[in-house]
Amino acid sequence: MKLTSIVLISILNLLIVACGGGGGESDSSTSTPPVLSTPDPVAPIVDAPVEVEVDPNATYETTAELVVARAFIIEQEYELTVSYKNDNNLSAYLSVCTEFTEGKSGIKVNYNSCLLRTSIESDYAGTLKVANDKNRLVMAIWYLDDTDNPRYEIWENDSDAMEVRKFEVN
Amino acid sequence: MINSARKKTVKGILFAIGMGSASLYAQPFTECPTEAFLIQDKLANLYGVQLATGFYEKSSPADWNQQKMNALAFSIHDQYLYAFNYYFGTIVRIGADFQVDPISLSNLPNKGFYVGDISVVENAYYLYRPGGSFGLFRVSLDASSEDYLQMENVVNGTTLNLAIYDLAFHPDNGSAYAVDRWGNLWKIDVQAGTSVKLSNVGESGTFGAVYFDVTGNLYISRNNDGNIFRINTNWDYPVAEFFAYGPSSSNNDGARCALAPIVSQDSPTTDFGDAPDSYGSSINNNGARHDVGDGTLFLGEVVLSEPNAYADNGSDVDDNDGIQFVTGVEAGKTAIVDITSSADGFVNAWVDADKDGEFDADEQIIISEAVSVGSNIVAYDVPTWSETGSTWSRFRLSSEESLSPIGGVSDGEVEDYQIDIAEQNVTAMHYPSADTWATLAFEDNWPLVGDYDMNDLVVHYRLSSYDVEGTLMRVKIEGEVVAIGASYHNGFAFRLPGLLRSEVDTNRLVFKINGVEQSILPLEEGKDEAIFIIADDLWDFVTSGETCKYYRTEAGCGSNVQMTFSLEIPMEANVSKDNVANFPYDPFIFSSAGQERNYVFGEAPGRRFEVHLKNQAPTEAFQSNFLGRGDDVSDADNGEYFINANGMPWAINIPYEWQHPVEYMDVKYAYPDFHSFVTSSGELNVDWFTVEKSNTNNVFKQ
Repeated sequence: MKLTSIVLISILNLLIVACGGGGGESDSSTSTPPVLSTPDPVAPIVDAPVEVEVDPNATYETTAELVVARAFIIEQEYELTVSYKNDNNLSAYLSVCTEFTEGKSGIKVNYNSCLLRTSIESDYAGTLKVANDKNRLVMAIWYLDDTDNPRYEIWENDSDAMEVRKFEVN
Repeated sequence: MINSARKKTVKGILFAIGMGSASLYAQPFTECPTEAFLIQDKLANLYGVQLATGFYEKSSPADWNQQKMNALAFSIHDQYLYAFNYYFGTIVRIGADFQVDPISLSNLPNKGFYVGDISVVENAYYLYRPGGSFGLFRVSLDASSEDYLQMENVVNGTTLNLAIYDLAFHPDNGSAYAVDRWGNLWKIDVQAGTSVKLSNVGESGTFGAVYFDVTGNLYISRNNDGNIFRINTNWDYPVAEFFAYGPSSSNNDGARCALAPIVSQDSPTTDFGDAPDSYGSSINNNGARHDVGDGTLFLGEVVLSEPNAYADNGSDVDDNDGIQFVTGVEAGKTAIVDITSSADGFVNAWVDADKDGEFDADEQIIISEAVSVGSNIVAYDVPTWSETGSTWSRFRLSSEESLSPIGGVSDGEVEDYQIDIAEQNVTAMHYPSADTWATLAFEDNWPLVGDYDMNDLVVHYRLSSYDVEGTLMRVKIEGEVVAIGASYHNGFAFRLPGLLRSEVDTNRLVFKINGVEQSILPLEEGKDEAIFIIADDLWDFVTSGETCKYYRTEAGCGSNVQMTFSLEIPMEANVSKDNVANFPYDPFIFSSAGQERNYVFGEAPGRRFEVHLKNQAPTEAFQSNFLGRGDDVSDADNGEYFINANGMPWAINIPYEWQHPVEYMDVKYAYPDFHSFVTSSGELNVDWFTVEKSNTNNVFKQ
């Protein structure tokens, strides 16, 4: 096991040590270090908050030892902004879903797998939370006046992308 | 596969003994069959009929070469069929192998009989023919009786004068029943030769085949249209209810074993819906049902048969796969469905738009729509007066053009879907998607570090929000409690951060547990925030298995999920969606009242104890000085909550139907990639939670 965490002694503890044992001894010239036999009463901190720093390369035998960045809330989704430009302001229905098949007869969407379903009569823009294991999404647009010709657009996640992911359909 | 299974069930009974075997004697049936028998045509054909659906199939061999027969009867005493055979001019016994043996009778009149049945309480065959020279006759089939095979006239046809075409014996009261051409139901005392009119059933015609089931329901089949009606003879004034579309015929007689239920429990051939029974789903409520038939006409990719609605179809396959709601269902707007059919047929469909638990005539959204093999796009209008929220829809496919939402039919399939009727122009957002689960996994030993098997409480859930141009209309929370791997008593709740209690429209709020609407308001009293208490103590709703400590966490301790819940939360006007937190809102556990926790608390902390997801602030009910006790290092000033010194939380949220670790199994050994996901702050192994990445030996299996 390699535990390379850097332990930061809290400032509070340092202060306690620095101030400790002040009790009346005024002869600071002596070379004898002060004896800290009767430290001032301090707040009864049962487990002093010891912040452990994250080492991304560390490995741990058990989850009890695992160290997590405090700000990382262990979120398992990524944000995806979705937009559709409805040039002619057609009355349509837009869905963004995760399950679909591409076969000879075209794309078949499982509409039970949708994250977003909305009527639109103009442009649409919104933000979705997508599960980390979902890397391909389909946008299905059904035009209420032309039910024979739905439109499908597929988006694929680039997991290396640094910026906010965007699924834009014009 | 379906085809072959189907053949087995239908033919299995009749072909119990191999066809064409030249046995000396006809062979009896091996059991009391659930199907009815129907004999028709001048050159006789014997059919098996599923009364539940009207499905029928010719059973007799093509080269049977038997002349017309009538007055068909099934004897429960020797398990043979009997009939009056016009060629032999006497009664015959018919075996399961279709061998026909004539039986000589003494005192036989010189005319044929087309009405008859064998009593259940005595081994005697009763035959009827109107007219002064005829009437009701009795033939003893009991070889030990003195009058064996002697025909005796019980009463003449002038005294007992009935315009009936078949009769059937009640399963236990000894009387025969018949419905005459005007719809009068007669109860016939066959020993006294008298009859009593019980009621007029409300349907008239020639009922050439009538049958009983074991519960005292009389089924009557009308010759001209084949419609089968059910009459509950236990009622004070029995009336006919339409039951199924059956075979029509001009020459018709039926019989069945009156001691059998009408749907086989062992080898069912019927597909049922699964909407709640107020819609008519089970056989008792004359539910919508389809015979799987010859297996050629169904919705989607598959249809499976089951003994009744809600019964297990014997596989893990969900055969509700034929309808895709390609648009949402919005009150007063056009909606579109994609119907996948296996062959040509007709679709009729209903939506319970007023949410009264029934499919009414004005709720039929698709009427006799012809569909063909493959995908069929069908647009329909959603009633303007629809109530928003969760409701049920029913889709029926059949070769029958016109169907009602209940009753049986001889082919096709019924599929029921729970759907959501939305306001016009609504935007629905779902987490993790419209029909998948996310998972909450809690360690409940807070503020002490637990064992990280992450199964002290495991809840599957999904969330939906509905807004119209930024105004939040509704929120839906659905879920199921899948595991409790600890003995502490926890309540479970959702707070919707940013939403005030006063902004919830409590009058329209619907809270269900295990599908049953609850009378208590889940919105917590006395709080400013909107907090929804799903349960004060989850152990009130689930039990550990026999010899198991916990609920669904130990090997060999599987059980069905014992608690599901759903909450529909409508808002008062003008709640801005932007003011309310994003998914997953704020799910949390709290301590049940009066239940002890660990030593950190001097007394039972009750509602003051909460555990939330990492860095989620507790609610106003929480006792804030609990923070920092034990291993907790929350720092409210920095927005850090429910974490230990290593930054680890006591709860995680996974947008996936996660298989939790078995009891005492460190999550690392169930999901080896979890650690690197965490240490990389979410950069690596982002799909660590999937079943493909699990160590299958270390996760709980049902």
